[in-house]
Amino acid sequence: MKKSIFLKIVLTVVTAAVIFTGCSKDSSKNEPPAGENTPEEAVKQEDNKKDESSDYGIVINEEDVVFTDSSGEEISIAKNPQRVIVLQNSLLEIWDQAGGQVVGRVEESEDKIIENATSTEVVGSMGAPSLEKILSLEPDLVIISGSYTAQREMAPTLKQNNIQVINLDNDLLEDYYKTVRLFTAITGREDLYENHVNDIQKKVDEIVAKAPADKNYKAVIIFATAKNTTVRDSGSMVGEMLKDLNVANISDSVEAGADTKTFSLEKILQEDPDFIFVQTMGSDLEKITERLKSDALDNPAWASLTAVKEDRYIVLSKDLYLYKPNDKYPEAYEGLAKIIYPEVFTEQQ
Amino acid sequence: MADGNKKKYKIKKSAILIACICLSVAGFFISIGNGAVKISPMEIINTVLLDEKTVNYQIIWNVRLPRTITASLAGTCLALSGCILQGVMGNPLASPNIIGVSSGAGLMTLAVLIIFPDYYYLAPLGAFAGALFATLFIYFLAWKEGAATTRLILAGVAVSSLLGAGNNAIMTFYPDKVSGVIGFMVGGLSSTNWKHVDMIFRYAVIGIILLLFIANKLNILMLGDEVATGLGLNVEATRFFFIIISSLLAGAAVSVVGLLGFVGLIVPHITRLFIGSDYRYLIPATIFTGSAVVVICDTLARVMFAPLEIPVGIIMSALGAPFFLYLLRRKKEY
Repeated sequence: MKKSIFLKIVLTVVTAAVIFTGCSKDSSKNEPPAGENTPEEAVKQEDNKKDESSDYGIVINEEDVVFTDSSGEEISIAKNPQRVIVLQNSLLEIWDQAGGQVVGRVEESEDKIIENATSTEVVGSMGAPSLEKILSLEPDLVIISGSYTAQREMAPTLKQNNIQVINLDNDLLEDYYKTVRLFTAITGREDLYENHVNDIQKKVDEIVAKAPADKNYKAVIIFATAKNTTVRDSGSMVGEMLKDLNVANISDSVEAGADTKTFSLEKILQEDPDFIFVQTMGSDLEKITERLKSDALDNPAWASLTAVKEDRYIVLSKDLYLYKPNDKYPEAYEGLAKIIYPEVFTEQQ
Repeated sequence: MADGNKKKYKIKKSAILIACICLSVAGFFISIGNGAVKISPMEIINTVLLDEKTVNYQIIWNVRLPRTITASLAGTCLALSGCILQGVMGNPLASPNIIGVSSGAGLMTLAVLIIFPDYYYLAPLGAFAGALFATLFIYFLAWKEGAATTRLILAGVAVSSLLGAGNNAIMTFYPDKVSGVIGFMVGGLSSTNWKHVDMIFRYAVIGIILLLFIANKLNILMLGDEVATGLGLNVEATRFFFIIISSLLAGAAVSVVGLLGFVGLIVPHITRLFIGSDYRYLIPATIFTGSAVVVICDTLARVMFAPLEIPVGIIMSALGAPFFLYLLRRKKEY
């Protein structure tokens, strides 16, 4: 009897642990288990389907712009807000390129310097912006990134103070297009949208169209730290680029909610991918590439992989492949395309 | 103790010790035989003996074997470290965390991986140095004509929370880089290779040998400072020596497998419930139970959702905590 109770307790706890860990996604985003879509994702997918005709579900009126942001809330923003604060550098870059001005920003990232905003007031870091500082600048509009808990938690207080808040995701290429569409609509710079995004979209589409479909290359994207073999699947930014370029991602074989997961090195050895792409937080690309490659060669298991032997163990620069490339998406796609299909993409240059 | 009783006592303790050894050996073979890629026992034997150039050879020799050995040594080091500290401090809640190992190692690792990511390969060294410095700092703060255990524990709590504030500050200021260090914070063995074995092996061996020779001194220390001094033991020096050894052991383990909190706290207690508090038996038994727990839990962590892996710490807590509670209610010692 006692034994069976003990067994039941153990089984319950293990099952609970398994469910929570197996299904957990990036906790900061409260996303659902694999296979299920949140209403906002459904909206996003729906938007993507009809993007050509309805411009990502963004309705542009004479005086205002109406759209649904990442929190699922329908928002109406008056055009040309005067006092704007942007709490994420990548979004600030897009806002700047859409002709927007800011009165406040978060600490500058050395990898994304936005010249027009260097002299504006700093309201803290992306992870810990100061509510007081933001309020003191009396903004009309605050643009936040849904990826940061502190920013999400700040939104209700800002709204109580009659400050409009836009919560945006900028994870994938489609998010970028949508954000540019939205920002240029708010700033009223249709000219920038036409020139800018159409050009970017055209270049990306051209690269994707040229990618051979019959090579059937397999790749894995790993995130380099000294500790874990963390991989990123096709739901990640670089993963999506590879998928668009007709490269299979071996970590897509398992559904795991999150686009980042700890993957078995045994499985990587068995699959023996044609390319290994490494994401790194390091700044000195040359130095870190040398180090990571020598680490891989020193480790007999990694050294036995074809990609390592044939020098297709590629360390990706962080400005294009770790942070959002934004208007440099064509360069990011082209960079990968040249590595994967040099015969197609190098000749034309 | 009468001779007959003494003999019986020895036989009983030796039998439990042998059972611990068997568990550890069984864990080793289970770990080698299981993984994300299914390889039958016959294939494993063939691979090991014959096929040097195959994928299976790489998987067995260069993935599973170093990982199993590292898991085993890390488990041993952490469990031994906790076991000694519980004795030295005379406190059942003592674990490597209390002498600053986790917070010291954690802060240094975060600093290297997040602030100086170009030097990511120095993270294990940083963790080791962080653990050792935190211990020495705590000892220095607790020293006032001797380092009384209560002062040591309280200084440990204070320093850990101070260093913990440093950890949180780094995570707050660099939230976009935190995902890269989560692996270290929860502990795991997913990228273990022979280098890791090399890193932990010498510390584990030195620590184990030293402890086996001086286990009896822990028994004397357990009698209380006054009695121990009366028996001719230099209490302060002995305590300092044990604390430094546990810091070295836990620091070496943490630098390789990350912050595995559970092993150092619970495994010594589980072992004690079976074999008793006589350190001459408890220390050798802990060597094997620590190893078995981490090796078996790591095998589960990489097999349950293969080819995905979950952090071994989650499995250990999910299985170990209920098992420990069960023992706690059944045994009379607690």
